[in-house]
Amino acid sequence: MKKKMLLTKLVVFGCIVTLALWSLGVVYAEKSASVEPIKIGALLDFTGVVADLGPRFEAGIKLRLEEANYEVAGRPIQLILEDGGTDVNISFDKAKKLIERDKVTVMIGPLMGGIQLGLAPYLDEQRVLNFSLINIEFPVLKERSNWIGYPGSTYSAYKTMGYYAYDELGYRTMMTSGSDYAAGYSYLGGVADAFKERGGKIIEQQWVPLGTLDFSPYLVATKNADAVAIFFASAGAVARYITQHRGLGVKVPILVTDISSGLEEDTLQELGDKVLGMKGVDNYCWSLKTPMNEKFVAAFEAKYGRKPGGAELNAYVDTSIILAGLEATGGDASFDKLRPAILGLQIETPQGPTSFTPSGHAVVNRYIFEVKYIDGRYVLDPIRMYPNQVDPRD
Amino acid sequence: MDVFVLNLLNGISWGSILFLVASGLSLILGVMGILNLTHGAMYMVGAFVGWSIAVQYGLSFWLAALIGGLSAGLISLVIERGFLRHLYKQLNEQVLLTFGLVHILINSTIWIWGARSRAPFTTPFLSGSVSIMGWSYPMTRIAIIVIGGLLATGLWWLTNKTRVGAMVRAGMDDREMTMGLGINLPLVSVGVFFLGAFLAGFAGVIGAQVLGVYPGLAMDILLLALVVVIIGGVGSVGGALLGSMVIGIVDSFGKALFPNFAMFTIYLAMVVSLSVRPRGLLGRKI
Repeated sequence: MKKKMLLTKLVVFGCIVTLALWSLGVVYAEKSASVEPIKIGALLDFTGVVADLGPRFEAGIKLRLEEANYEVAGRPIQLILEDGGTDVNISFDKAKKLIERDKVTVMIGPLMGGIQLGLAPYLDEQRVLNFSLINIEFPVLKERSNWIGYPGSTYSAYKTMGYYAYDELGYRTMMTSGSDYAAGYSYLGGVADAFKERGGKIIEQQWVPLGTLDFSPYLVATKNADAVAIFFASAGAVARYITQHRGLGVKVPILVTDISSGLEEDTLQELGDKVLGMKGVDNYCWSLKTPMNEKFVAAFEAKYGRKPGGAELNAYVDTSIILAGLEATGGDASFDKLRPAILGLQIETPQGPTSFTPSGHAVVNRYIFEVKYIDGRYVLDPIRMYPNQVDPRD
Repeated sequence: MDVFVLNLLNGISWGSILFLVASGLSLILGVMGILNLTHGAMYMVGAFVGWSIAVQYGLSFWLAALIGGLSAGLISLVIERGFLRHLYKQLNEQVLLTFGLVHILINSTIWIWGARSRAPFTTPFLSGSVSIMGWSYPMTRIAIIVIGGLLATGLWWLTNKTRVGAMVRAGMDDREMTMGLGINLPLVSVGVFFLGAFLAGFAGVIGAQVLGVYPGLAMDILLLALVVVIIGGVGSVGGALLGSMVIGIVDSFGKALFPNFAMFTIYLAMVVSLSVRPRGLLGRKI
């Protein structure tokens, strides 16, 4: 009888211990499964004058996140996309929503320089780490502490074309024709200053209102310079300018800044012989011959059925930088940990090595491209590389 | 002198594109009293449809222009029959409705064709140039001027020398009296609406030879068309022609002579015109 009671007590005690241990195991498992995701916001433009770029940036971001399985340093990643509408008021509302409601700690975008300048005080105050999508206005980078400027500043972006035009093409006079807004002044200002630095002369600078459809008055007024460097922000403007330039028989050769975007893949094939031999500058084209780029292009083509352009690459690298920074911090996405971690990075990207200055300006290669006809297609062939470009004011 | 002539020709060709768009808008506003803000979107739709026909499928450019116009006309018919006919004489509601439809049409276009802009395209016959005072001048612009002139002549003949044109003018002058005389003015109005939208879509393809094709055209071209109608006057083909030539030439010479004020020259012309003739240079009373 006594033995029976002892056995019963032992069994009951064993069950209680087992139940307790099992419960602890469940609690532990649940706790592991509920690790808070790292929220990355992306303020892109799917409507408005640069609506064609929003989906392209999105493609680059998502490819990189899929390669990382939407995870870094043991934490899941949640991407939250918003449409800024290429409008400062809409962008401001969406930024507020991403930061205050969605609680993102890192944000990619906005794209447009004017909108960056408009949102800069608010974003700085919120201590959210912001990444530019193309080139950043230098005052934003210098005066605010929350930006990472990849691939660089608008002023420094295309300076190398000024050097190339003087040193290698032998041009001694140049004029510029560009969109009449902040980034236009910066981009072409950099080209003009570089050209003058070498001893060249800028004959005239034309500033064309955004949204101009007919460039013929500006083309008729083209001075007899060795070249005209162009930058136009509006969709299709580069193709329109070149077509009208050719139609009017203007002889002054065109140098295209932002050539990979202005003459993106389909537009290049449509323009065809009109752009054969044309030269320009950019930080990327799918034709760059590096093993990492070939892998990137193959992966992008496999997923999206087309070749990546500069927009896709920039967004892909922005995301790579964020992931590398989070790896370095062990998944800590707080501003005070992540920003210094990113500034200390030296990473390889499909367009070349990337590091950062203390102010957050990316140090990247810039390339001169020439339009050639290769294997039945018009391509941007890289013909010259300028390494480690930064803004001289940094 | 050569620069003057070139800028004049550029202004006339630019004005011809604007005439193709604005003539339809002016007629619709004059006959039906409808301020149709989707008119710019019809230009855009015609341009994209035309691009698909001429570039994507490699068919005839002129077929592309015709189908571009028909597409715009048919979409406009749906808009008129489905929505606008319930809003006669309600200007605020028309503006709100058509403005909303513009965004729907732009986003639908992006959904179908993508947001990428397309380079200017033309027919091989017009891809060359002629020599004018030592300059090479593109055949495309000459063709635009000729087409604009032919269309202006055709519209003038239609509105002034045909029975249908008489009905249109009578409807613009006194709608109730015209209907009282047994004329089926609603049917005439729908025909005018279709014609106006057809012209916009047709203009989209003709204009694509110089301007290319992109979704933002819907708003960019609408703004200019409205300025033309304000200057030229409502309901007048002659007014649309005069207004478009004024804008084309002022814009061309304004950019050439006063580049720092290029953004303002056409609006300055509009302000001056309104101060002198508030009804427009050849406008009818709405």
